[in-house]
Amino acid sequence: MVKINKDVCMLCGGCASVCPFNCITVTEREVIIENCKECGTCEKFCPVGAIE
Amino acid sequence: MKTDVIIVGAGPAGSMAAINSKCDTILIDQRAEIGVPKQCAEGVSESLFEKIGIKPKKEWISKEIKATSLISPSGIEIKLDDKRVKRAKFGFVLNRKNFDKGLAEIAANTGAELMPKTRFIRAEKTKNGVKIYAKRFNKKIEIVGKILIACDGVQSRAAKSFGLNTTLPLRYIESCYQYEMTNIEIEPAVELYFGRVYAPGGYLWIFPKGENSANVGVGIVPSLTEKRAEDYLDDFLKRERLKGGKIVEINAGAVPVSTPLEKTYADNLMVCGDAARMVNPLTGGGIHTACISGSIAGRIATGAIEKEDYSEKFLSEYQKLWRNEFGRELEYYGKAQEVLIKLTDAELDKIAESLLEIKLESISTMEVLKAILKMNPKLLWKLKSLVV
Repeated sequence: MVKINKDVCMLCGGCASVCPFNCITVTEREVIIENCKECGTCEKFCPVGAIE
Repeated sequence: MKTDVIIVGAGPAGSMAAINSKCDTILIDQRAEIGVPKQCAEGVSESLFEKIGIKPKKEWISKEIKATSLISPSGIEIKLDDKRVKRAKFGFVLNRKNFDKGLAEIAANTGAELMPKTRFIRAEKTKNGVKIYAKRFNKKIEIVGKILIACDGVQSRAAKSFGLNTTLPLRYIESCYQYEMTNIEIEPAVELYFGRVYAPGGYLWIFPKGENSANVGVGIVPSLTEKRAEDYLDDFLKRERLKGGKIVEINAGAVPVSTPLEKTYADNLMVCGDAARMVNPLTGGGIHTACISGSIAGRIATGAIEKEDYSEKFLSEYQKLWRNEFGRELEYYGKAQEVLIKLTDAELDKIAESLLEIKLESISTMEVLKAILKMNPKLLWKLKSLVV
């Protein structure tokens, strides 16, 4: 499962919009990841590199 | 809770839908403050307010734009100002926080029930309507209605609940990063920097916000580079001109740069704005199309409630109407983007050279694109092979 660096994340929601498996929900204060397939798409998208 | 129309997302699309919906309407948004955070460079064309029939309040507009500069990878600048453009109306840089909140206020004052801090979870179809599950603060709530209008942005969950696939591949989504900066030298002019060196697949922008402040940002197509949007912006900030600049706000986000969703309606559902990918894929601009599509959806919803017909067939009129307004244009820009995105920096420099003497009737994506194609017929052939 991918890891979100909370200190870096801007909560912009971009990762949720690119996840091909709809695993990501971004609320006002957190990123929730369920059933991650580790495809790496969100990591590639993240404008600030908050996903490892 | 019971209503006629449920709108998810109080951005420009959602608020315009609510303003135009003349039946019982609930507008929910997950944010505690509508319009915050800003995820936008805030530029709009001059015709926006006329088009949506709303008089702008003073606090919605940060700056009137007097020129637009296009800058090539090697630094050739094509400055489009009143000397080059006959009808020199360049548009505005909005204050999106005030604009979004202002539109939501109008929606509330014209009868919609506005519910901030209410996060959409999922929707399901009922016998003759729709039920949505949401979370307001820590309380789970259900809202029952006849029609759902999905205006929940590029990560639309509401449309997905109805089986419409709104997920885009990385090639068609821009990774965006922006600083609102102050203490910089700025003219009331937009500056757009093109090329792999600045922004692979997108561009880097400076949008003036005040006497010495601006939105400075970048949008890249992540599949074209190993670097992040943040890296490109920080590289740009090393320039002499921006060295004294101070960052007052940081924004990030995703912008769809494809053509609109093929089907933007279903039984009991309409999808508007970014959620339906209604964005100009050449500029990333989507406020105009969000407002127009929202307005249309609001009107169609009103008619559907009156006629008690929420079927896909009735709501298909929504798609017909927005396509008439801007559908063909966005399809064309989508094709043009397929051609332009493949250009090397050297080719972009050549195009810039070809534009050194251009004169335009007015300023719009179409006018600039036409001028580029006229001076670079080879591109026109490439584009034609895609359009036919």
